Amino acid sequence: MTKLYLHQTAGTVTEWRAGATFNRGALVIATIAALLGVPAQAASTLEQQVERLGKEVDELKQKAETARPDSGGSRKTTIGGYGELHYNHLDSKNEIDFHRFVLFFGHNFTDRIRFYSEFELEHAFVRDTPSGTPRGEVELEQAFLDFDLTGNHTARGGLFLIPVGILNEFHEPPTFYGVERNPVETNIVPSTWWEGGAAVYGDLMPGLRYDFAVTSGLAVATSGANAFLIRNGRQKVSNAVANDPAYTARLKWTGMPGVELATTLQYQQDVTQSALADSVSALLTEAHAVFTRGPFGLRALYAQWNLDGAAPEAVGRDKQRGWYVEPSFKITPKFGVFARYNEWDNQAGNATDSKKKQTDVGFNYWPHEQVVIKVDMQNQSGTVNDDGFNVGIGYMF
Amino acid sequence: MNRYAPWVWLPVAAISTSVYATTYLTVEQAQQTIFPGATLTQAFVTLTDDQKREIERRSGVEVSNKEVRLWKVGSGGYFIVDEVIGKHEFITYAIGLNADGSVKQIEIVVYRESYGYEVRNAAWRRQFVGKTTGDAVRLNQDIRNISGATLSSRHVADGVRRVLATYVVALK
Repeated sequence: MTKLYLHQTAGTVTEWRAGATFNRGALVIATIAALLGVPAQAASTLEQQVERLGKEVDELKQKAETARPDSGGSRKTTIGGYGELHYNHLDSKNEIDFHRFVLFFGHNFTDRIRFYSEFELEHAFVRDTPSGTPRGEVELEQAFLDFDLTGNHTARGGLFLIPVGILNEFHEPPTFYGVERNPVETNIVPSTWWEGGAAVYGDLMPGLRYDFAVTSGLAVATSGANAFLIRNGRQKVSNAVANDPAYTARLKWTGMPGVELATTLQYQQDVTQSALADSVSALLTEAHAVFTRGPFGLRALYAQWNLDGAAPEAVGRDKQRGWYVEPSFKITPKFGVFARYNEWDNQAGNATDSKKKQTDVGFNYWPHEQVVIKVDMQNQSGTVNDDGFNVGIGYMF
Repeated sequence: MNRYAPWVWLPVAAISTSVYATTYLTVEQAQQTIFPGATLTQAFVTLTDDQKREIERRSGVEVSNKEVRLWKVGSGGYFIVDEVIGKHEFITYAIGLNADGSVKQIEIVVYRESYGYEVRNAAWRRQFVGKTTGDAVRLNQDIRNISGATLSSRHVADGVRRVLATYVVALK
């Protein structure tokens, strides 16, 4: 973010330079003294003086070096990563999967121009098959440049995560409860959701952040089982059709320690990317709250899509919405329990009963702050019924 | 069928015109913010191996730099410039201690990452005011978290705890 900079170096260097000049002056005096035949004793005093000044220069030089802000070593290029292995014992499946293996690469070109990226391998194995049905995915989830404009405002260009919800931008396994990400921020807010484009973000006042982005948009199917399903409409910035961009705005307030309140709006004039004669505009409204106080935690989120058009209305997908609430409690700093209730409906626009519900209960154990072992039970109802338990192990660095 | 409005490119235009407008907080400015009007004298300290071990034992945080960038305040108190790792990059921050060793104020001097910069918020930093070695100074105990900036919050808290231990072991 803000590139505030230590200028202590400057002062010390000036001092050092003054010393050096004086040093040279002393040498001149010594030389003149010698030429004029000044008594040897006086010359030796001058010599000592020169020596003493030389030492002082060295000391000051050392100090100048240690006073640099980068003495700890501002890193030019950084790497990081996270990963998670999941075991799902559910009605629908009994499998073990290295779900995500992620590498972060960042580079600081200057104090104000930074690069950041996230490269991901999903499901541990990818093979290009003639049938076109490989199991895994290789994904570029983030690759952007940040340009600090002023201390409080930054411009971003590239491929980046849409500023929405709780998990979309921050989903490293040790930072959330539950082996699998919650179904609302999967089926309504389609995490992990990235687009390509440009953005500006910064602080309107201390603790109040804004984000505004113009990016590539969704391209939902217009027929079939996935018609107008948001999650399936992500183009992943892979030769994405760019007829209709999306505009995203977020306000996030973190003005009180332990509290985050945020809301995101996204508008796209046509989520079919002009595939139909009549355009289908879409508006996403999302709001969430995160509270932490001592061992108590609470996350709550609501999200809704309104698709305006006869085609989505005909299949009840003109309204898609969901919410969840997740209280948690840390029994010790390394062991926390949680419960989560989720409701979501991707066909809320018609009379059909299509609501899905899921209750999760489980715990996280952190042997280290960046390493986590998770266990949870899930119980579904409504139009879904996939019950069982999940076990996961994850890390971030 | 290009429907992109011309103002799509506004952010790009903004980049090209104002990329050099960043403001800086110098050490002098941080000093004047924490100790207005005071005279500070640079007095860097290099910790001995014993002191380093004792600070690590007391704080539970590794000492990666044995040099303490310390200034003494004329009217009593200390000003220290310290660094911790945020997520991947160093956060440089300044901490002012009262004459009795309690935290007067902390200021973030350099933040180098695209995520987690909310630790700069004054309301969050205010939680450290008055802390002494008698306090936990730990995230999710007496220091509240900022969601989305967990690592930065935790590491600043760890840094302050280490500086407080440094005061007891090496400065007091």
